[in-house]
Amino acid sequence: MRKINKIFLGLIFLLGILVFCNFNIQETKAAWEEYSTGVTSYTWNKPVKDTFYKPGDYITFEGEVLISSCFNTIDETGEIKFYLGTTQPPTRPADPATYGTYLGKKALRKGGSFYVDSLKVPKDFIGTPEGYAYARIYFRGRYYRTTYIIVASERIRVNHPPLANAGPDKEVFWWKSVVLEGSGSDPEGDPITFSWSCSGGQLSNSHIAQPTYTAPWVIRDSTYTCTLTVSDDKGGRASDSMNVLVKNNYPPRATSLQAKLLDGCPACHYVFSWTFSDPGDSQSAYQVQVDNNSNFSSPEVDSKKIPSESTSFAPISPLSWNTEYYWRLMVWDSKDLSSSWIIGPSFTTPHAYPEPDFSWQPVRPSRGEVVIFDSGQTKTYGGTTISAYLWTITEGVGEFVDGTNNSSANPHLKFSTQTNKIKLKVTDSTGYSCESPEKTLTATLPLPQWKEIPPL
Amino acid sequence: MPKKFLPILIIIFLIVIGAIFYSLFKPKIGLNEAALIINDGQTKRAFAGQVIEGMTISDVISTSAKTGNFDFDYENGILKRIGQFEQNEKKWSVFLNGVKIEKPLDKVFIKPKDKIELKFE
Repeated sequence: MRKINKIFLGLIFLLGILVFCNFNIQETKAAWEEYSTGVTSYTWNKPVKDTFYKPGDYITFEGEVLISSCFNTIDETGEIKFYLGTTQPPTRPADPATYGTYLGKKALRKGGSFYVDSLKVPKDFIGTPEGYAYARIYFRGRYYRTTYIIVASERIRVNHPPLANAGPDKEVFWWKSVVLEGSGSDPEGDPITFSWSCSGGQLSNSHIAQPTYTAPWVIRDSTYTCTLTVSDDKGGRASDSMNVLVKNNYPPRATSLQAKLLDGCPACHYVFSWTFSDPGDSQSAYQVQVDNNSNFSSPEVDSKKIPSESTSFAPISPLSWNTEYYWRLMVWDSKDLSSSWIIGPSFTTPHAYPEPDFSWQPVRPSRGEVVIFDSGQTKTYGGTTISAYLWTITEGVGEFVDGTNNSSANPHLKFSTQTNKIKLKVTDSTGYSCESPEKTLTATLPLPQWKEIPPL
Repeated sequence: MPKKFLPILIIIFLIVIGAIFYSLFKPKIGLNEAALIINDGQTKRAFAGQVIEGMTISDVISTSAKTGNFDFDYENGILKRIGQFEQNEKKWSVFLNGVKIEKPLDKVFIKPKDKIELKFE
């Protein structure tokens, strides 16, 4: 009897265990999904939730599934499958193939934790703006041989990285600048930022798409790599590189700088000349500045940059008389590389040149009538006097009379032609000469004398 | 003759005498002569003289200026001033036989019996 009682008690105990297990099974069903029998807890690792993934990235799934101890009879061949979709997955997927993209599967060990890693987001996955990771556990066991159990459905974020284009390769001479033609875009239209870095040279602004690159000094032709990185606000980034070939080129020089008086009549005109020096290269442009201050603070003459191979420059505007001037020159070679300012020798302009002028009487002479010329209106400067006169009849016929000649100060002439042109050249006591403009003298015919009559 | 016709005869006589005097003292231009009239808007002066070959209006003004003792300015064929009358708001216009001359005056030749008029207007 006692033996029977022990057997009975044993059966009661076993029955109790079965009832307890059934209770647990029911509770588990309520806590999870209808089919998640036996799964007591599950956790996603944090990186899955908080990280933006891009197609091609590996997502590390890591977690722990605690299965009720009642399921120690589960076949050890259980496995976990992962899917990735763009919409909320159904709560009861009868067929896992109807949802999302299958990422892969990993074996699930019985009754304990699982660690899954290196599941790759497909390259063609379009998870804009966000996708869902959906994991399922598939058991094959004694009681639930073909049941799909939803372990969890978690939202992960998928971000397509921006596109970066560093633009074409460039060539530039040292110390010269070139604009890099970078560009970028984002498939999702996310805000993007640019970041340039170069292995040499300087960038005007490394955070814009198209900065200006200034080449460094190089001894020989050198290639530098510039990399553009485009980032979006979700941590996506892309890079592209281009090369800048920096060519060696020494700046040109100029020698033998000279400032010479070109003409002092009627104003002070100078010409500035130099010799261009750059072996194997030629001048493409120049700039001349002239100032009466040695610091060139307000140049009286500034040619600006003149594209020309000429090695002389004559300003249109005259300089002031009797003034000390400074001048400087900059030249450019055929590659548009400039010299620094080259200072020319300072110079002092002379006193003003004489200004010849004359008149005659009678103003309207007849042919053959004596015309008296007067050079008294001629001006001299710098305390000089007129040392020589030279009268020239450039058109018409005139005869010096009364003992005068073409070097007289006030010559007398008779003209035998109607239209006559005369000019005067004077030389002052310092040897400066100027010629007057031509003046036209009209000698009329010997006219008959008319009489005044009462008004008609 | 009735006395009542006497006043009429006297009137006719005076008219005839006046016409004779007018014809005697009327300014005359010779066969080979031309005339210049200067009208400054206030007074009129007239000059006459022989025309020689190649004589231009500017020559006429020159020789008349010597006779009439006035001076003038003449630039690029255009008359600028005669005496105190200098072109400003008013200008000197030149007419040859009543036709206004626009050409330079030293290019306009004259011939006998021509009448040149300078008007300040």
